[in-house]
Amino acid sequence: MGLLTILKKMREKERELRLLVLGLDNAGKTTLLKRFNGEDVTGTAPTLGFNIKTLEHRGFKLNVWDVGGQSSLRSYWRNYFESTDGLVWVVDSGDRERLQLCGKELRGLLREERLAGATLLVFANKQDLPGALPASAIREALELDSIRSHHWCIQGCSAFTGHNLLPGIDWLLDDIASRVCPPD
Amino acid sequence: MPVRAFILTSLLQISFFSGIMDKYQEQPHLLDRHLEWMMTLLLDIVRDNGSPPQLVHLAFKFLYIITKVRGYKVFLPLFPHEVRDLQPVLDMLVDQNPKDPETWETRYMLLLWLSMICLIPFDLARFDGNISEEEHTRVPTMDRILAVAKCYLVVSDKARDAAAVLVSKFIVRPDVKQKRMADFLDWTLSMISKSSFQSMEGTVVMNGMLQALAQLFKHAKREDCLPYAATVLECLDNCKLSESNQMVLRKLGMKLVQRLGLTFVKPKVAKWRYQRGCRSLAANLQAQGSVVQSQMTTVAANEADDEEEYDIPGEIENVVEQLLVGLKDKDTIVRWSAAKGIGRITGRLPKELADDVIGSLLDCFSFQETDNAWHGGCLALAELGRRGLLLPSRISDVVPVILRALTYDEKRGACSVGSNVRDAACYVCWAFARAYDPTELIPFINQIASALIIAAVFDRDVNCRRAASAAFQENVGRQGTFPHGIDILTAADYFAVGNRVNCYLTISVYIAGFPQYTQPMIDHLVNMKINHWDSVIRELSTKALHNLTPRASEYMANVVLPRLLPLSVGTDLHTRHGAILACAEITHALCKLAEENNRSITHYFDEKSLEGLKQIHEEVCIKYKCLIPFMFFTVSAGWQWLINDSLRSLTFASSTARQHIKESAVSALAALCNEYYINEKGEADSALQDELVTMYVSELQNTEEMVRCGFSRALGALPRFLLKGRLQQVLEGLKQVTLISPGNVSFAEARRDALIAIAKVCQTAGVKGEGSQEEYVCKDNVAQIYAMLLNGVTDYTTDSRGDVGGWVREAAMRSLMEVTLLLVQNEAELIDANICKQIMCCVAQQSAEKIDKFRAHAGSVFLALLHFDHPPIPHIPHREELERIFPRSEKETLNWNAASEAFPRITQLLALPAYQYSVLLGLSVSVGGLTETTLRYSAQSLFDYMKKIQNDSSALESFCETLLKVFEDNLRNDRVSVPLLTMLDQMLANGCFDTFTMQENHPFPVKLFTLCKEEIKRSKDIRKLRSSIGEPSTGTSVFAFPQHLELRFPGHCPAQSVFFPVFSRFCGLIQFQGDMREKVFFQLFLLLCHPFPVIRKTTASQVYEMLITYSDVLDPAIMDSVLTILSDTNWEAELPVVREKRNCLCDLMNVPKPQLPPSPFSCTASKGDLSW
Ligand SMILES: Nc1nc2c(ncn2[C@@H]2O[C@H](COP(=O)(O)OP(=O)(O)OP(=O)(O)O)[C@@H](O)[C@H]2O)c(=O)[nH]1
Ligand SMILES: [Mg+2]
Repeated sequence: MGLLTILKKMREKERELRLLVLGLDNAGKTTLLKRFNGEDVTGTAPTLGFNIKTLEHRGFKLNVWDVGGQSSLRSYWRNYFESTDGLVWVVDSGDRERLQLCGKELRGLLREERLAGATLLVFANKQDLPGALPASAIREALELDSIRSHHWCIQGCSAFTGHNLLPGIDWLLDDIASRVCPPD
Repeated sequence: MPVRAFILTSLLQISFFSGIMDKYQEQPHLLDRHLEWMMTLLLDIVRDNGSPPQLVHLAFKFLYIITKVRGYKVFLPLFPHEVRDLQPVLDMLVDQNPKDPETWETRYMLLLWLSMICLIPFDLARFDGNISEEEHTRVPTMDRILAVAKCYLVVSDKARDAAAVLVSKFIVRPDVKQKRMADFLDWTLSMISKSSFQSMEGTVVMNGMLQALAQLFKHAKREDCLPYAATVLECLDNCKLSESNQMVLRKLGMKLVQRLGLTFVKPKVAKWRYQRGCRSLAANLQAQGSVVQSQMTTVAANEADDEEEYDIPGEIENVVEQLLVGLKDKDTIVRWSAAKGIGRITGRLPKELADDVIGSLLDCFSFQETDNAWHGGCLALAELGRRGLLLPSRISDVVPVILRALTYDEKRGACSVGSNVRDAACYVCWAFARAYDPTELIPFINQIASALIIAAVFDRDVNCRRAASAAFQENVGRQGTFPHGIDILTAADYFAVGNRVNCYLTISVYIAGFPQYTQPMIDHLVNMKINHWDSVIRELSTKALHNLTPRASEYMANVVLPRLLPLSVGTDLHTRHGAILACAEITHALCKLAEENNRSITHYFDEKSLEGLKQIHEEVCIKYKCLIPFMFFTVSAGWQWLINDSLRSLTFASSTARQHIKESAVSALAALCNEYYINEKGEADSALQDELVTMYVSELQNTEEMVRCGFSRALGALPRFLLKGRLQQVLEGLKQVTLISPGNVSFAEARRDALIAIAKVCQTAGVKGEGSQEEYVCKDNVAQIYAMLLNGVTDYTTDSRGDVGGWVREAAMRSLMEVTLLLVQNEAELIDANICKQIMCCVAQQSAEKIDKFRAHAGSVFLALLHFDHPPIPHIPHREELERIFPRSEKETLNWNAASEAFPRITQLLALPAYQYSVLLGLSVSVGGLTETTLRYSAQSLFDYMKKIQNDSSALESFCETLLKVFEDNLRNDRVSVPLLTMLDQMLANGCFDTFTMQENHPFPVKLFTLCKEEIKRSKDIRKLRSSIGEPSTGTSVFAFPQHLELRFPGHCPAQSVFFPVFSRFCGLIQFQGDMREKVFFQLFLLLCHPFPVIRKTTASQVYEMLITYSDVLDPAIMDSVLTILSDTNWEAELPVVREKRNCLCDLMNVPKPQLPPSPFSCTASKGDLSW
């Protein structure tokens, strides 16, 4: 295998990203994925297993993994960490009661070795709901500013309407693409 | 369903599917948008309980073909993976027969599918419900999966790989890990320790276990594996895989050992990895700082500087050690794996340890190490480089090594190895670009840039040139500090460097226009390329030096030329060849330059060089550009020595180089003699002449063929004043070269060159009938000259190279023509009738032979002699008839190359008594030959001729007499006799001799039969024998004959042997009346008991066919019995059985029984005797 083959493979690899979408149950992960894929978003049922969607965006091939967020399933999340380029953390901005829990789960993930090189995008979802907390409040509640280990960004959005989904994903892709050396 | 089945089976039948899939090999991602519907279609079949098993297997075969193209990682997510999929897939898998070789694809795909389903976030225990008391025999799902996985880890087909994938996904599940991981690891380790890679089964088991472990340690969470890592490493050490000759096992060993290593140390995220993220050329060109700030709230990670302190386990040293050994492995794949491992592990080590690794790595680059070590070392450096692990303090150690690797070229026999090393060195340079801050590379930038340019333009191998171009581009893009980077990149991009000639001759000149690259490029050519093992490279690089001379004329004149001069008299042939050419090219370029600038050439040469060039005028330099190096030595080192030595050294040059060296040396010689060996009176210096001619003639007897070639041609090139007084000595010397003696049969090239030289010498000497034979071609030596040349036309030497005698015959005919034309234009009376007849006959014979190229050459010589007019050649036999057969009007259009045109003409010469023998001799080789077109047209022409003379009994008699004479003269001369017999056979079958069949005991068939018997007697050649009773007794399958036999007796007819269908078969002779018939039967019955069963069988079936064909030869009363014995006997049975049957035939037909010879050994074919 000569340099030219290596470069070809590398280019292919760089064009193909793995994104892991996590968050508490009912956060809107599956809705977000469907919206992004242009599917009907009404009548989404809780995810009991996991979904994988392959999307094309800006010349990237995105393998997006969406795993159910119910508490019984969370211990299985670690099955999906491997070679993750980007972590999308979805928050139900209207779910004030569980923000505390939400922050705890997120910090647990960030300690994971196998997610060490991944970029973090937080979606403050359901901004369309009347009582939704703004992104800045979520940022504070989740103590994002204390994160030192990962590149991160928070984006208020609505998976239901599709509002602000693209800017979030674009930031994520830009960040990942500007890495020189992919993690092992 | 039936529709689907139909679609599928028919698809498979025409194997279009696979073919279509292959088309996606290059760009498999194009397949992605089709994956989903293909999957749906196939999985519907698989999941349909009603599908017959064959159909299900078929569907899995298709799925496999798709994964093969696209890779299972892409494909896997498309498999349904819900909780409800688990049971059916597992059940299906359990139902499979692990050993069925027809359906491994099914098992492979099912295992992969199961591995996907295992990812469900769902406790497996919930499948089993509460296993109640009475059901306690039911196995829990977890164990069922484990059992299947274990079962397939030890199979020898591809299902094993899938089982390893399944294990890695399954064992790491939280529930399984807790309950079964330890057990599973125990199991793998015990399996490994029980097996040995020395045995087949052991290899299979180890392969499965190592794959499983490597996958497991790769995918599982590090902390989960850590407790087991040391034990596994110990077990792996005990295997001593590096001693296995199974590449796969060594590769798996590398994979596992690095995964173990990675388990011992925590990952680190490289801090710099975003800092040089600007990969696009365009972006780099833009003014920096115009980066639009995102309105989104982003916080750059503050990767703390504090390197967490923790103990690195001692095992790491062991792991790194093994990986370093792996870098030198003989297989690229193993080296690759090791290099990646080094990169990965070093990335997790603290600085000091990482630096130690680099230190050990640099040991790969020493003179003792092989190209494998260099390659592995480069790969590892590149892996470290692109991870930013080569600390700035190490750059100064690494760069010199890489610069050497970029031109690495180790001689191995006739060529060299190292292109993989050079390619990997480009990879290192490419990695530098990504990993280093430009300021760190600045001190080395000129060296690296020059080396990459040199590789991109001057590497012999297109892949290396392209790799260098890619590395250069990466550096220009990311570092932005390569001098003139963008200009150069435009000229030497990926596509441009594809064409080597263009690289050497054009692109190099452009790049050398940038002063910092000029000298490095020239130095590289002089040091590394003009002495290259590949002569094409040597020549190209000297031409490149020519083109580069205007860029650095002073440097060329003052530094390069003085350096080249001693090299051109060195001992290394490649260097000498390159240096001589280079001197010539550079001097020529300098001369042109001087002329253009209206300067004296002295402008470019210092005192020392001038001393050598003093007597050579500028004009001479330009006129004899190829001679310039020889000119140098004329004065300085002694030209004679150089030319003579070049000629003597021909043996060591490659065959293409030989021709080149020979020709340039010979033309140099001619020019130089004219220049320097002539005195004012136009005569030779007699002492010098004596020395030169005597030495040259004595070299003609050198034991090296190439030396004979060289000096023959050199004598041919001598000017007249050097030949004068020495002609006999020269001709006699050349004559000796043309003679074949036992020691030099294969010296065809020498004989060719000597024959060419003879004509040249004659032309140079000139003709004077009454002159001295020491000075002219004259009446005293003309016969001797012709004898040499005519003798050359009879050279039919063959060896492993084929008909090498053809070169000699071709040269001899050309020389015959040249000498004859020379004579006729000067003193035509020197050509007497006898010589003329000999010339014309031997050329006519060649004109009827089988090889198109030589026949065409002979034809053109024949016509040139016939049609020559200034004046016409005297004494050509049958000139009038010939002029009719070959009218001058067709001189230009007649195509001798085409058998269809040549043979109808040349066979007409059969009617001319003077030519009959020669033409028939030539024809028999063609008619009985192998080439179908030759054979068809020559045979047709011959039969046409025979038909014409059927009623002309005197013509027929004379023809047959000649035919027998040809046969008799060539008995046991296989080159002629074998095809001649085939020709006879065809003539018999075509009724050419029907006239004689009416006459009892006509002498022709009797004589023919005697000759046949003589020919076959004691023949050891099974091909000849088999053909003697060959197939096409009716003549219809003549053309298919060799193929038939080859098909039927493949074992006896090695494909590489040129197949000669041989004999005039006895079967054909049977039609003649009289004793003949009985003799023929007797011979055939001998063959019925031949030691070779093949021959017995063939004989029997031939006799059978013959009896049916010529039904009147047997008494109808016995016909049936005879035919029954022939057809019902197993002629391949034991000899005694066969002999008994044969004797029955003898009794029936009243033919004497052949008797067994007394010798007990004569039954073995190896004795070479035929036993009857
Ligand atoms: N109003 C509003 N509702 C949303 C939005 N996104 C999701 N929902 C709703 O929230 C509910 C849960 O959405 P899902 O996409 O199923 O949530 P999930 O994160 O996939 O949940 P699990 O699969 O159980 O982990 C659904 O009823 C969605 O319609 C949003 O942006 N706005
Ligand atoms: Mg969901």
